[in-house]
Order: sequence, then C-alpha cells, then structure tokens
Amino acid sequence: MLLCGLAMTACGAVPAQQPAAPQTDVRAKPSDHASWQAPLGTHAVVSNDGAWRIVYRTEPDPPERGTLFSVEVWVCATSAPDRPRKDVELLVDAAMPQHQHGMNRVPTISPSDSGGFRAQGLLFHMAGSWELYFDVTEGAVTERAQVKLEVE
Amino acid sequence: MIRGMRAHGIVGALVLALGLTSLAPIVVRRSDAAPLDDAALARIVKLAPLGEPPRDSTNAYADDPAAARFGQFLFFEKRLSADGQVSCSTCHDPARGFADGKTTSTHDRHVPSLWNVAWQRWLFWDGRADSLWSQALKPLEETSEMHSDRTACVRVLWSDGELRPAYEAVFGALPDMSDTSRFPLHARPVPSDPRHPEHMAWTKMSDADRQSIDRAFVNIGKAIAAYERRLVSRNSKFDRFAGALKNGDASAQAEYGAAERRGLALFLGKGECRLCHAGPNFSDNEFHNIAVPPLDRRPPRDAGRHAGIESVRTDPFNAQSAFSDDPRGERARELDALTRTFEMWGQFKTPTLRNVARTAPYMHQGQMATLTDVLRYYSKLENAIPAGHHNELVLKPLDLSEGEIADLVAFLESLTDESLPKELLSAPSSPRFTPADAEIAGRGN
Repeated sequence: MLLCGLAMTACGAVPAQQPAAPQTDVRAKPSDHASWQAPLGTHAVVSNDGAWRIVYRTEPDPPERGTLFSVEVWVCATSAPDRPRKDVELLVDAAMPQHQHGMNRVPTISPSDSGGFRAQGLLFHMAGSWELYFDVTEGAVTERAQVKLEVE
Repeated sequence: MIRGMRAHGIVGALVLALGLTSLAPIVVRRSDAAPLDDAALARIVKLAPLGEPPRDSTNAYADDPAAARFGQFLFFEKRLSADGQVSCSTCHDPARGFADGKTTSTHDRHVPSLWNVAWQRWLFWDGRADSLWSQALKPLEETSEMHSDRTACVRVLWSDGELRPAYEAVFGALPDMSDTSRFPLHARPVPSDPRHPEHMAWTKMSDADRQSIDRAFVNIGKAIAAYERRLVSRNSKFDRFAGALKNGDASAQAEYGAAERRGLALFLGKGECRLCHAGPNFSDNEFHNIAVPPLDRRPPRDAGRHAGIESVRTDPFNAQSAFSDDPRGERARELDALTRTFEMWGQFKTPTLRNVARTAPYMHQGQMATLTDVLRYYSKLENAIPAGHHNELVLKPLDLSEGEIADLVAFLESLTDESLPKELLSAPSSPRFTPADAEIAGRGN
C-alpha cells in the first residue's frame, strides 16, 4: 500500500452541509479558480501514480467511530496544484483491509460550493485500521489515492 | 502517547493522555491479577459513563414525559392485540430483561432485550426499522405477534374513557370513529394480499380517513418509543470501576474483582470483542455474520440484514416518511447511503452487552443458552457455518482457556444494572401523566 505525501494541518472551519446527489452525476466544467490555495484544516495526499494531488478534510476531523461523517475534496493535477478540477469523476469509499470489508454505506458525492466535491454518508462502524480511498477518473484512466485512519 | 507513564504502584496520571478536561489525576490500582496496561486503561475510561440517550429527531414526543406515561400504559395493554391476550410486555417481559427467555419467537428469531434500545440506530435483528417508534408499530399488525390492525388499535383508544383523553392531551384529537362505514372495525393495508378483507376495507376508506388512522397509529408507536427510551442501564459495577479510574478513587477501584479485571483485559485485548461491541453501549449498532449455525442445524435460510435493508427503505413509516418529524434529517439521509451487498446475507445486529447476563439465551435464534456457551463458540468456532468468500476475517478462533472464559463471563456479569425505578416495570394505574409522575420520569432517565 502506498501512502503518499500526507500533510496534516490545523483544523479549519466546518463547511455547511449540501444536499446529496447521485454518485455518478459529478461531472462539471473546469474550475475558474486562477490561484487556489488549500483551505486551512485540510490534508493532502498524492495519487499512487502521481497524477493527482487530493486535498481533503473530514467533518468531523478525525472521523469518530459510529458517527456519520462527510469529506470535502479538491482534486488538482500535481502539475497544477493551484487549480482544483471539477471535470473529473471522483469516487470516495473506505474499507478495513485487515477485515476485508468496507463500510455498510455508499457515500453520495456532489459538487461543493468551494470548487471541489463533497462526499456524504460515510460511517466507520468498527474500531481499527481504515483506509479512505479517492478514485479519480479522467477519460479512461482511474488513479487511486488512499490514506490510513486509525479509529478507536 | 501514553507510553512512558507506566506506574507500577498506585498512581498513573493519564489525564493528558486521555484528553480529559478534569485536572483530577487518574489513580490506577494494579495487581498481577489485573494486567490492565495503559492502552486498556485509555479504552476503559471511554466506555463509561454511557450518557444520555441520543436524540431522536424523527419523534417529536421522544422525550415527552406525558407521551412516555401513555406509551408505558400501552406497552402493557393487551387490548391492542386481536385476541386481547398479548401486549408488548408479553415478549418483552421486564422480569426477563425485557425479553422472553425463549430461543425463538416470531420470524423464527429470538426476542431481543429492550435494555438501552434508545441507542440503537437500526431496530430488529435485521435492522428493518430505523426508529424505535416505527419498530413498535410492526408487532401490532404482525400475524404471528399481536395480529391486530391499525384501525382496531386506534379504535381501542377512541372508545376508552381513559385512553382517549390521555391520547388527546398529548397528540390532539383522535378521528371521530363513530361512523363504521367510514372507519371499519378492522382495516389495514396488506399489499401482499390485495383480497385480504382488511386490505379491501382499507382501500374503501377515503384518503383523509386513512391518513388520520395512520397518524394516530404512528402516535401509538411514538408514545411506546418514549417509554422504551427510559429503559436505561448504565450504573453497573463496571461503570463504577471506570468512574473510579477517572476519579482516582482507589478504594472504589478495589471493588472490581480480579476475575472481572482479567475478563476486561481479554475483552479489550486478546478477544478483540471491542471491535463489534464498541463504545459505552457495547455495540457498534451494525451487522455482522458470526457464522452461528441455525437452531435446527439445517442450512441457513435467514437473509438477515440483506433483507432488512430493502424493508427499511420501503417502510412507509421510515425516517423519510411523512410521519417522521425530521424527514430530511440525518436519520433520513442515512437511508440514501445504505447499500446492499452479498456480504450482508446472514448478518445480524450486534446486541448491547449491558445486562447481557440477564438476557439469555443468546444469538439471533437463541442458539446458545449461556454466556459460557457463547465464549466457547468464539474460542473454537465449532460448527461455524462455512462462509466461503463472504466470511468476516475478524472472526477467528480465540483459543480461550476455560479460565479465560470464566474471566470474560465475570466481566460480562459486571455490566449488569437493572436498577430501573420499579414504577417503570409494570403498567401504570393511569395512562394520564400527572405532576407526581415527573420525578419518576426523571429518575427513569
């Protein structure tokens, strides 16, 4: 398993919740943000083949066992880390590799007001080692980034 | 982060390590018989206190004392059954841990206890209800349970000199059911059998009359739920031990026996019981397949959670329904995120372990008579159903000695607290809430 470039910063503001949308309906026009900076309280990870820099924050941060949480995600090409992309498809999921099972829920993903995506409806129901997955698809190519989260 | 704080004597200050706001040091009494290491201690203090029941935004009456009093009366009310012989308390007997002590009952499943039911996210073994109030409605019409119908249930309230004013004091006016051509004696939807007489009677009613019956029927469930939320167990010997750890009360810690401590260490460590029996209510509120063979030893036929998901999604009384008091809230949104996978076939809900020593037998069909039987099963997984590629990898033989099993039983017995006010254990003399009842309701919380 690869764990690339996990950066942790202080917590930022809690964003407002948005209505859920179907997971497959997340395509949008490219962002117009000319010079974008990762919001405070976000973490970042680079996808496994290096194409994407995923900036994200969970709410709450860190997620608590047995409590629904959401993830706000910004997807940037590593070659242009100041331009969040919305013209890619993003899937967010999580699993416990040691137990070989995932969540009992499928997150819904929708565009967020801040130029990224919001995944809602996640829940870690067991204590232990979880992995949070970000699958970015552009054209026919999907690349994954993942982070480890220890849940008590 | 709590390494380096090992205190082999009396004092181990874990305040910072555990993130406690109190400045009181945690005094840890240790002995060779109680190998509770720092990691275990950090977890123990998170398991108590249990706190208040989580808010149920789908039930505006969930914490209304008058609704709870009315619901308590209905909980013991046999007239809500078709033959007048069965009430909720028939199967959820307070004297038997709010269960019935039998292996199986309806749906070929064991009756679950109602202790701390307010903490459950999903109800029934398969989670086919997503609120306590919607759960309470199902047995009223279930043919193998109370076998009544919603119109007859509402008529019981409307026609009774005590129940009617008690209902209307909480929920407002009942429909005028004097015209039996509008409100038949028996009517309910039976979508699986359109020729059922009660279904035909239901379809002949006007939309408005059907809605008025549904609304009153739902209020019966919300009242019963308000009562059941008061069935709280959270002052066990274990809770007092965890509290003593936090408060640094060495003499109170000493009340917790060596076998209980060893069992607690196993629960948190080697046994990994905490993975599913998590948090202060000792349940992750989710579903697992622990490969227990069916009671009749035939191949498993109960789909469990796999079927429960579709049921809860289509339940006309779920959290997204017009009868929910928060149809766009968090509980409602959870339904959107539910998914059904092959792994869910045969999964059943993780029960709470609070008062588990008083709620035998165990498992979804009561397959195991004692806690020792349960732990022997986890130790060897003898007769476990071959799960193929859908097994839970967390399920592996624990290889417990008989001594370890006895210690775990001692720990589980230390989760016992049946100290509910006796007024909550039987039918009240009246369904009406009076100021004198306020103290009782408060103590029930």
